[in-house]
Amino acid sequence: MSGIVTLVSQDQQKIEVELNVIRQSKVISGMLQDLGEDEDTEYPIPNVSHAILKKIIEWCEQHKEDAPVDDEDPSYQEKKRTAEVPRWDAEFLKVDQGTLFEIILAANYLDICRLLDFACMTVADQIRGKTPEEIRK
Amino acid sequence: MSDLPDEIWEQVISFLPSTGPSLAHFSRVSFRFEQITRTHLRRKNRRFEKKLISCEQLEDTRIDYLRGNLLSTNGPRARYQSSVAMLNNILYVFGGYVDSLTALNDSWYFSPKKETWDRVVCSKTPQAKGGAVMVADVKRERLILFGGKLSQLPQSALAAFRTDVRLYPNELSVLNLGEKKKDWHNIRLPNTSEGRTQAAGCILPKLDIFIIDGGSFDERTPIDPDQTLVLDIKNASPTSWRWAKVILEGDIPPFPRSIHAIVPISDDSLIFTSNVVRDFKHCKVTLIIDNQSSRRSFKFTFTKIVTDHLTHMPAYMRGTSYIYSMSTEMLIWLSPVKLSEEQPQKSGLAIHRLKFIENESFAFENFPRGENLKLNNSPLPCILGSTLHQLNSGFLVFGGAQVNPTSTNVWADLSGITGVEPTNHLMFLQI
Repeated sequence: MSGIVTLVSQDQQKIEVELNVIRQSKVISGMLQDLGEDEDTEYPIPNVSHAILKKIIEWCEQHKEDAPVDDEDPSYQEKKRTAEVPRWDAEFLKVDQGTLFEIILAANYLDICRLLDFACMTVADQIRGKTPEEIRK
Repeated sequence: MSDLPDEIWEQVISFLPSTGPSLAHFSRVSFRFEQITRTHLRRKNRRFEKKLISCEQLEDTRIDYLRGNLLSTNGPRARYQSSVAMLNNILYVFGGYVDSLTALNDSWYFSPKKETWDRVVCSKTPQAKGGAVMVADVKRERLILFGGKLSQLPQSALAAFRTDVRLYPNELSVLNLGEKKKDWHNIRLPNTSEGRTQAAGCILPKLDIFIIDGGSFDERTPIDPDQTLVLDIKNASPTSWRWAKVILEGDIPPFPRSIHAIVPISDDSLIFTSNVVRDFKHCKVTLIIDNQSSRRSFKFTFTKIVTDHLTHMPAYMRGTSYIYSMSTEMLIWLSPVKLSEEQPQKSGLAIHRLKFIENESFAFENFPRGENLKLNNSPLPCILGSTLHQLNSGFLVFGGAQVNPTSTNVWADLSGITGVEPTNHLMFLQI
């Protein structure tokens, strides 16, 4: 077992990624279980473009050491309401709105709950203090 | 800004503060966003109701999270069982007792910003009394005061020389803070209700009602919840207020009680707290409008808050002054005893909190671990008859009287504080 898997993005591009990095996606780790962790198998991620998938992997890379979180756990639910986006993640999410939304959609699809939370918090921060007209933009 | 699925938008707005304009602005962006906001709020309320029925123990909390500051020792005379309410972040105090013979009728306010006390200069005041219920009608910037007791003398002692005086007046008074000349107005309503002392009260602003529960007509027998009063304050003019009809439903209503608190936790629900028995009830208030008379009456639906797994009701669970902190979703109260000790300490004060979370069963944990609060190296003398109010991230505690160190029954002291030293300390407790 080499610990490397190959993902295929929407636009049919291949990306190699370490197993322990991508396990943060519950969808991919489920897929690995279902299809078996085979080096030769390519795992299709049909809803995510190459560029965004690269971003997602970059995020997972940074967070691979983090303790896994259980998003069903009430104390985590509680904490995240009051938490702030960590600095690294805030920088990471300083992207144009289109990209940010694509990251949200990808994180949602791949079920990476903390990335989704940070991204949603970032959008919430953008909404805060704006008038309805300003939000519409 | 709309190319995200609804459930994701819902997740985004769950990070917006539940108070303040952000959520309202979001909902006004488009019809779709309005629908999303509604769904979010509905879900949040459902979550909350689920929480109420089952709660879990708090994780261990450290004492240094709680910092007490003595804000002021000047200002009003030392007193206990005064009537205190908070309006627009200003603390208002009316009356109270100096000792068992002397009641007061002065009104004061404390501005936390300036950290100063000032007297509300009035030419008319309610009778000097303690144990009255005072609430703040935030919407119309006024204070409403009901009931109380003129002095701590027993009725028989008073009747010996004054037969025309009601020891427990059913006086209803209003102080309009928005007016330039501030005066207490006595309100006479066509349908009266008997006066009571040491009752609990609160306002539900959305429903425009002032609820008065429990208390006592004679300081011996607490009043049953079927005699809970609801004052319909929907009309701006107090003279058109009416005592509304109340229907009790659901679980067995709370046991009769006094010296407790009823604490609003949402627009239409409250918790009936207890200082004697392990009997906390959630109450949902529903408005019923009579088609013909268009008179409003109210239905109280009680739900028991599960505490069965607590085999023993620890003394510290008995509080006299409760508040619900919306920001932290915690019920917090002052209790005159520490941990499981039934007997008061000379300077005992414990602040306790109860937290609602979604799974398992409902539990209480005292907070912090029953330690005394050390304030400027002086022990905290106040506890009985003091009040607790939320201010920003902390709490204001005012007045009260020191528990008699030789007292054998602190709960008897609660109703008839005698031979104790009152205080005028105002403290800010930060958590």
